[in-house]
Amino acid sequence: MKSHNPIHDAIDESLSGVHFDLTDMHRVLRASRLREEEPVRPPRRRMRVDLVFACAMLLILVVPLSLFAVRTRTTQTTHVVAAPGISTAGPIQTPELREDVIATQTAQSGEESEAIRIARLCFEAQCDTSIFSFEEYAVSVACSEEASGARQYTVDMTSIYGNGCRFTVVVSMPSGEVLQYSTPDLATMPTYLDTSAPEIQAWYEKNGPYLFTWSAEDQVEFSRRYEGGSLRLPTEGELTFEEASTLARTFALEQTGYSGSLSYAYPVLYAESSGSSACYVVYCCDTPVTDTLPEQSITVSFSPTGENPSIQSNTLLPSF
Amino acid sequence: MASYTQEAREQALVRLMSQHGDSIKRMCCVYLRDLGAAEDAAQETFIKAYAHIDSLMEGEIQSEKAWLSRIAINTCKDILRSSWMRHIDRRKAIEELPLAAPSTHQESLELTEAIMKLPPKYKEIVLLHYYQGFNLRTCSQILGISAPTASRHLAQAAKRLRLELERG
Repeated sequence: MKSHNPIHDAIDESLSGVHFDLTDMHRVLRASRLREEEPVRPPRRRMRVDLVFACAMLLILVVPLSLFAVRTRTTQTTHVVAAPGISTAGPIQTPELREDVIATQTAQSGEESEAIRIARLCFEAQCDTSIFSFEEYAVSVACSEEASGARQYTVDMTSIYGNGCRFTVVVSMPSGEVLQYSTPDLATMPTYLDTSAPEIQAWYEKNGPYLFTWSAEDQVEFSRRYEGGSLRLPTEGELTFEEASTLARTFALEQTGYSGSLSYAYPVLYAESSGSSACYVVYCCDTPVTDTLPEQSITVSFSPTGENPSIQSNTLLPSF
Repeated sequence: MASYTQEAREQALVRLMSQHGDSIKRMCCVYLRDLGAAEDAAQETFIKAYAHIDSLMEGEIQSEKAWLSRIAINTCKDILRSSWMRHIDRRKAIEELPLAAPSTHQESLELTEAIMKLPPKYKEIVLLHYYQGFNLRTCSQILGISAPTASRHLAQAAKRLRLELERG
């Protein structure tokens, strides 16, 4: 449908350097994916200030109300002066009205609690609760009212560990219908590790800079919170950490013929979410790992039950 | 309504971008006279299109080019209305935009510059009719105006262009 006319040709020629290039495409795709992951929120009408409308409102509402307020204030002042000793408390402070206000607030918070409960059920049905429980999220709620009078509660759950895990549910009340929820994987898959965060720093201060030197429990807990649970403890029938250390040391010495002791072995049990490709990786060396890694070491891997051992890396023998 | 996989929807989007990306971006560039804003507008156009790409894939949209042009024009209008563009004039003369090949004819540059200088209501009808090649009826539908109004805008735009070129 390209029309060959001077204007078309002139624009194309003048802007021949303007292209919708790969960078543009990547940005569009990335932004589209991000927007797709966000829950659908009810559209908000953009507020437009129309000058004529504003003036009309000023004339119709504000001016008469102001005059009325001035008149009322004058009247009240007169009463106070005229009747000293009589309580001048405003109507909002009367017991009946206060109860009304409290009752309304209770009803609102009751509905909000119900929205949170429904969001929790949605979370438990959709997400992998073996990684994080509902209590490990900070919950915030935003409410918006539709024209029909129904309210939409957006329940936003953000991981308390600051790892970027988030789950959002939009609930319509009072029907309790779940209108939308965000991608479940994003609720349990940490997206970043903020190493400068105080909590992360506390872990490193307690255990040292190398995860594999930590106690098994700390390794697993840290991994669960910040790395998506890529490490785990051995289960029944699998080698314990001590057994894995012994096996790795023996295998490394046999295979390499190394004359040292390899007295220190640091096992880590990696586990993919499927569980099928779990494996021990054991870092063996002659001296303990402190703030720096020893120059000489052998890394051995094998299955959780000790099968198929192999040497992953060996800095004892350069040819390995 | 059939639900498409993310992959299929993204493939449709990539096809749209490959097919119409250049002309949409150039149109935004002429409309906004600002390459950065035009980039934003063109990207935003396709992001908005992706939100409704199911309708396109189901054949509910008759002309994807007209559909994209409408989104692009509205996005450009939004950008012009934004406080940033209202208070900061970033518009540039075409010579200042390093967009053309050195061999570009002077007449082409002058004509494009003259179109860029038109008021938005004339610029958009010129872009839709002469650049995108839509007939007046489609232009009026895209712009949400009547066909006679579109025709009048086009005539006035042509007159202004002629005057501008004669003066230049």
